[in-house]
Amino acid sequence: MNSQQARDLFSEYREGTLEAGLREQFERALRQDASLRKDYEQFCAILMALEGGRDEVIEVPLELSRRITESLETATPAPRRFNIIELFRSPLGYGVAAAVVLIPVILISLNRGGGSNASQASMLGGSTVPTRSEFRMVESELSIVLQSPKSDQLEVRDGLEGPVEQTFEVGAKTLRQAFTNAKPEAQGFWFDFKDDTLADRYVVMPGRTLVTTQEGEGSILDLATAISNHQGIAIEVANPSSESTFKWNLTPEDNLETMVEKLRVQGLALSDNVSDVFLLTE
Amino acid sequence: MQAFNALVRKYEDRAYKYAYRLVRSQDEASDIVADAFVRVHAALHNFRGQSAFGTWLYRIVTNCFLDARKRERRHQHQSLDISNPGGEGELERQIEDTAEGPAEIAVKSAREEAVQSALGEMPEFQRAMLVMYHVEGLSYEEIAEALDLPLGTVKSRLNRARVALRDQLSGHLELFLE
Repeated sequence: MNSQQARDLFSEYREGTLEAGLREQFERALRQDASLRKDYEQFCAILMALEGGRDEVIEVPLELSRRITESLETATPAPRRFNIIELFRSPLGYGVAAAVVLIPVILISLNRGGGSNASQASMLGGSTVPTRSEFRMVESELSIVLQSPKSDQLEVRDGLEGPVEQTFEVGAKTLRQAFTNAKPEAQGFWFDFKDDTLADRYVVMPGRTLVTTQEGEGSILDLATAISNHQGIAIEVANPSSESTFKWNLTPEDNLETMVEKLRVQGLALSDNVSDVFLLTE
Repeated sequence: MQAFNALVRKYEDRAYKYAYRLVRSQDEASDIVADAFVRVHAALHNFRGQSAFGTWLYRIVTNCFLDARKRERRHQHQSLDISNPGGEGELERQIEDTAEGPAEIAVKSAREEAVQSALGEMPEFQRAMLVMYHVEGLSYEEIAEALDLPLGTVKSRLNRARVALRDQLSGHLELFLE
């Protein structure tokens, strides 16, 4: 093991997560190389100084509670008074009244018709497994979290009609996966749920390099790829099967704000959904 | 609402201390915590106890911190709170351990100051992970839960973050010699 390889293992060695063989090699290198030993001691001293922050006395401002309460009051509108008499006097009230009468009748007739217990349980919220389909960019990786009350198969395709790159089982157990795009240019991925228990999603991930001039014409997927190449951002395309054609001319001077404006002219919107995956909608 | 207020009272200090360690500004940390509790209130019905409430709160505070920084970048406004050694945060810092001599305290203080400054220069996500693990004392599993990442990813990212912290301190390494 050379000294650079040993330096790369400082963190794992300190945390005790290095496997036995590597640990022995690392310790041998440490014994033989005084400069490496000094660097390792410095590395440990840095982390000790960081951990010294645990002893830091942080005073919580007295007005914190008031600030939280104010924020909650601003964010939560006062509950509206609900007058049941007025509701039944309105045209909507006639509908509600009809529903009150008709729904039990329909339910009773469904029961008589032999509706299955399973479907009733589902209607009454028998399942407690939440539905989750969260996509977000963490550093340069696309991190996804999926969960579904019903089991399904997820196929991750290279592009909308490209080959299946990976397959995953989705179900009640939370599935967490991280995807990277190692290519120099942006790449679109189609997350296709075979039984549609979760909505299919198309995400363009940026590549390793930026291309600051982009001019072309094509589908919404081509456009998303061009923007991703230009800005280095991940973009989810809301309607990947759109048949519309778009034109773009992105210059080195363009930033996200000017781009949003250019897209608006063509009837498109690019918004950030605070997960670092931008949403392109037509 | 009373139950929620009790929840706020129980967790506000912990949330504030974590937020302060990320931003080192009283004002900004208070904003982040207030924002976090608004989000907690709005999403509490979705919390099904898959993780401890404290871990869930870390996730929300981290997201509020990342969002605040993102908004700040959009407004092209640079905060000097972290990189300014004489900034607001420094006034708050006290050393509890009085068993050390003045020289040791001075060295320790200089090291912690340099580390805090370097931490403030690091990408927000790496900063959050380092603070969660090394300062807040969360386990790898808790961080994975809080950030919705696979355990292996948390470990490898923390390794990278530690090395990045050392690189960030490359101009001050003499401080860390015995």
